[in-house]
Amino acid sequence: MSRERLSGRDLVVWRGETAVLDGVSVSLQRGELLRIDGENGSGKTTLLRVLAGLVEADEGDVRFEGARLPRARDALNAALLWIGHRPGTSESLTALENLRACAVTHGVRPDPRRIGEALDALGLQGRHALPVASLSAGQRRRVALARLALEPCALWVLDEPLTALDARGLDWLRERLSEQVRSGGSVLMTTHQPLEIPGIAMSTCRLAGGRTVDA
Amino acid sequence: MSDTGSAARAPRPEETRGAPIGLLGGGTALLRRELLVGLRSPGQWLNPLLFFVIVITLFPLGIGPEPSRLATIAPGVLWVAALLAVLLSLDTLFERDRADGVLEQWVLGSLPLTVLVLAKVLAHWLASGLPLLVLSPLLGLMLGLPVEALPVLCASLALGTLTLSLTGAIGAALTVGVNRGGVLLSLLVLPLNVPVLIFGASSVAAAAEGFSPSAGLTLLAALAALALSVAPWATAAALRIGVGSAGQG
Repeated sequence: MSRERLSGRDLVVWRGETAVLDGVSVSLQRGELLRIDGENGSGKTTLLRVLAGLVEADEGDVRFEGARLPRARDALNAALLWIGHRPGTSESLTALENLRACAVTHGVRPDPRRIGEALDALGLQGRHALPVASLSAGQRRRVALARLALEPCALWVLDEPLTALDARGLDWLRERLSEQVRSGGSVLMTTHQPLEIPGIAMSTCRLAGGRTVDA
Repeated sequence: MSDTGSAARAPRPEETRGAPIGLLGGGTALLRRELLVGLRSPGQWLNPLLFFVIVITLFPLGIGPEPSRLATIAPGVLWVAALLAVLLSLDTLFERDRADGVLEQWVLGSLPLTVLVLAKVLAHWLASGLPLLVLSPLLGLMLGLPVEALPVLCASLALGTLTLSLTGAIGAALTVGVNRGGVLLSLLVLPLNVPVLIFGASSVAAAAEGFSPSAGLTLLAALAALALSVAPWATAAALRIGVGSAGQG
């Protein structure tokens, strides 16, 4: 069996007259963290959305564990944890309620005790029952990231997970990423900040103007 | 559970996956979530209700308090006001969830999107259709509708508003992420709503004049069954497209 978890080949996405992605190929293995790098507007987010199955590419194909995408969608969805740059939490609900709903969407019965522990570990003690709207940007980001500790998934796709995080949150995230990769999971993420995680397989794919360039 | 409390916590992804939640369990959990959201932002369900009450109380003021004249227009007025009130509440059906990124999570989740859509629509009906239904006998009496026609009014509104919520969800999903999609939404949904209005108002009018309302009610029930069997799938498909195209980062 191949070690490859997710791959995109010759992906092209048109937005009007311009190609947002112009023949990009990427491959993500089991137990690997792949970082997509590039300036604003270089197509990072679009690439993530295509690989997660949110957007269909105009040309090229996406494969999850060897099977092509529209057909492999259920398998991909079952294994995928997606955190986009929108938090995925409703402002009028509390952190606890939001994370419960997230678990349900993922087909898992929520466990309030574990959700509470995950929120505590992220420094959100005493804020479980506050509406997310009353939290700061960094705290909201932490609520979204708490899912990394709650919903074990083979594939994480994270769009700019480091934004608005402080040093402590960053440490926490680094630990989760390292755990995920070491236990055989895969991570696909974009970030502008430098990220060093010792001891795990990490590779970088640089995008510029919708094409891959050598880093 | 692999909750042994060991120092090195590196659970394998497959092992710690929580207990699966069935379709029914997932659906009810999400219905509860939607109702909770509605409860926290009362404008969502209060606005359509207020609109309904205001429109209907304005009619006697506008055309005069003559009971016979009011009684003849009552079925039509009640039904038009109910239809517009539901239409008014559809704008925001998916919009906030799209902006918050919740829709993305739904599209990528493992629970079927149709279950999520059904929970959403049911919550919408409970928040917008049901309050109209509860208040309608009172407003019907105010317009001089005979008491015998009131149960028919309620029954027709129950079936009708459910259909309106279901078809409205298709329109709301198609216009997800469209700037000021409200007008477009009304244009899309109105043709689908016209039969509901015709059969709804005619069944109430028939009951008010002492005829049997069963023809209109049966057709309303048929429309509701049709909408229930088609709309969730159509809405889910439209949401997939809408989430895929809307909102670039």
